[in-house]
Amino acid sequence: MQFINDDSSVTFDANAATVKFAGTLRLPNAKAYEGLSALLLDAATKVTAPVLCLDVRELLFLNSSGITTLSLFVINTRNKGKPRLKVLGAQGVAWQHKSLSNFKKLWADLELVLS
Amino acid sequence: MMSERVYGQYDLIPDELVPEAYLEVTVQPIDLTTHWKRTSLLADMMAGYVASAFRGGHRFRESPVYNAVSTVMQELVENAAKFSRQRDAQARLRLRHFDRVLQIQVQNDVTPATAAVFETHVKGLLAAKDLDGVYVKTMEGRRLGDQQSGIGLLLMIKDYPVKLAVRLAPKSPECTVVTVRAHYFLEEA
Repeated sequence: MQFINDDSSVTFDANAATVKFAGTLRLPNAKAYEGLSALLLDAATKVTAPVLCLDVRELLFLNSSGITTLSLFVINTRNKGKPRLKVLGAQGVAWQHKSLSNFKKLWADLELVLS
Repeated sequence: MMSERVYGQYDLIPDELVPEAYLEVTVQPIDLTTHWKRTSLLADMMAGYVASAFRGGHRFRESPVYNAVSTVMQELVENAAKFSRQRDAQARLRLRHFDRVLQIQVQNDVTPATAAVFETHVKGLLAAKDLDGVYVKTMEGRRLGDQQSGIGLLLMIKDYPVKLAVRLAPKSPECTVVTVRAHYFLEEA
């Protein structure tokens, strides 16, 4: 399962229970992010492991529409109660170390690892 | 016609102060909405103009300041692209670099109705005591179908060392000039 455009790729690896993001995601609005939302919801439904990992370490840029998309996914998963979410970020990427902690404000049980 | 309104520390840096670096770009917002990739090209170019002063060669793109300034610039450019008044309007992007402070300015023309919505949004953000609470409330509202509340400016002042200021200057009964200034206090380069 993939969401790919010219500047980015998002791939769900069911065996690793991981959605891996790479590149730059700066799409114009929520509608443009619908494909990504669908991928995330599908991954959360299909993953058999108790924890779904969102690995954004190689995502160099994400605009506020993208952060909204991920935020809504966190809320949706929180409300369903499963799977638990783990977010992997890179301390050296400014937007990640500044903004990823927002997700924990939506769901305190979300695990955030900045390396 | 309403009079000019200013919010935040708009004149934090006097206009007459000569910066270490200056860059100004004028674009047509329609160019950006037609080819959205241009918003990112502009943000990256203006961030690189600053970041290359701190880290030379090709490595400036790996610096925190490049990533952070590009992210802030992107949000301001996106707003100008989305909310400008006319197809033939212009948006003016300006960057002034003073030692550890960047003044990022984006100016564009909007309708009075758009200006009124933006003014309410900015006043709310600048008056908020708990920006994390605003973020949570906004996201929970979006879940319930509220499509109006963007979080670009909110994240900018909540997550980044940015002081936001806005001036709304009516130019005619049909047009208001919106100037957004983000004063970015450089931390690590």
